[in-house]
Amino acid sequence: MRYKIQKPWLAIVLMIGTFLLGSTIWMDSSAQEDEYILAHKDIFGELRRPAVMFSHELHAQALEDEGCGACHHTQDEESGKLVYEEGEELSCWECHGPQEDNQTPPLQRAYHGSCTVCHRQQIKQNKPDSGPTTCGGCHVKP
Amino acid sequence: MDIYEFARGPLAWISFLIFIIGSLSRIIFLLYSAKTEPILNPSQKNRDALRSILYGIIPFSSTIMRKRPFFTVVTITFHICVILLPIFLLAHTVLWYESWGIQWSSLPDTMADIMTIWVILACLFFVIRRTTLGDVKKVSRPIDLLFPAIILVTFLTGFLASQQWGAYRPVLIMHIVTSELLLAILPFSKLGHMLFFWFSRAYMGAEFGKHLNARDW
Repeated sequence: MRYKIQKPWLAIVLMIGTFLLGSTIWMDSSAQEDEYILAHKDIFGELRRPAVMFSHELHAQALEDEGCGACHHTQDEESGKLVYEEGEELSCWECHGPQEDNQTPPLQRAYHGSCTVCHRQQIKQNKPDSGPTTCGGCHVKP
Repeated sequence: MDIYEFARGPLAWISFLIFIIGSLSRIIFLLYSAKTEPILNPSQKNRDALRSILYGIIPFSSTIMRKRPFFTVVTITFHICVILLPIFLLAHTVLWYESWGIQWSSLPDTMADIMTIWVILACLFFVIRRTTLGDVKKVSRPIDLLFPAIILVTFLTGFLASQQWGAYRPVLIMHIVTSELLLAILPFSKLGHMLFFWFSRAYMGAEFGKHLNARDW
């Protein structure tokens, strides 16, 4: 028995909707980029060292067990301590400026402190594939 | 332990401690043994001592400097660069900040590059001079060639590391290790003239001033 679609427009809407929803399978759901180029001329002025290629993807994978709080932090309003709030992950430069501000370290110190100190701890714990601790290890000349 | 971390950490501690304690003990020992040394009583006028020191430093002040103008220019500029670069290079100020939280201004990068290349050329000049000029060759021992060579390697590896030419990590580690070596042996070698020059020149000037009423330059 032949039957016809009662509401053709509904069929079309459902088809398109299914297609769009299905195509999100291969889309990233993250709000950040995979790779960043850190070259903050607006904060540092003229750069005295080459730009740093920072792979957020690499770090997210390496620190999967520790979670995003390994790097991302905000200041708790009551206690003043540094805590991790899920969903509130910012880029480093959004809080850390060129100069020290109310006990917030300046950006260079925040970067060096977060990056090299963590890499150094990894090396001390004998974890093999840590990141660079030398100047040129991160500031690679192009 | 990772070699870079070792050179940057414990080995640096060892080298600096030897340098500081060694320098202090050598100076103290010098002053102590000077007190027990039988000496003709030198001039009490500080002017004579100070004059002798200044005549050793100010370019073209002493007669020997005027007799050897090219050498004077090379050695004085060499010393200025060798003193300023380890203290005021940006890479070094960052390390001091990383370790001790203290910070000071740094040299502009192009100027630092030129100064480093100048030190390398000056070291080459010293080595060539020591092996070719008859008078100098006669009073030279192998150690007198070794020192300019080590300094040359230190500044060369530093320059290569800053430009990231060659294998970066090994060159950088080599630079750190050679400079720590220089620091550690400084109080116990002829490089110690950095510490002792003041005292010996002051004494020479005082003695010449008192008894001979003459200059010692």
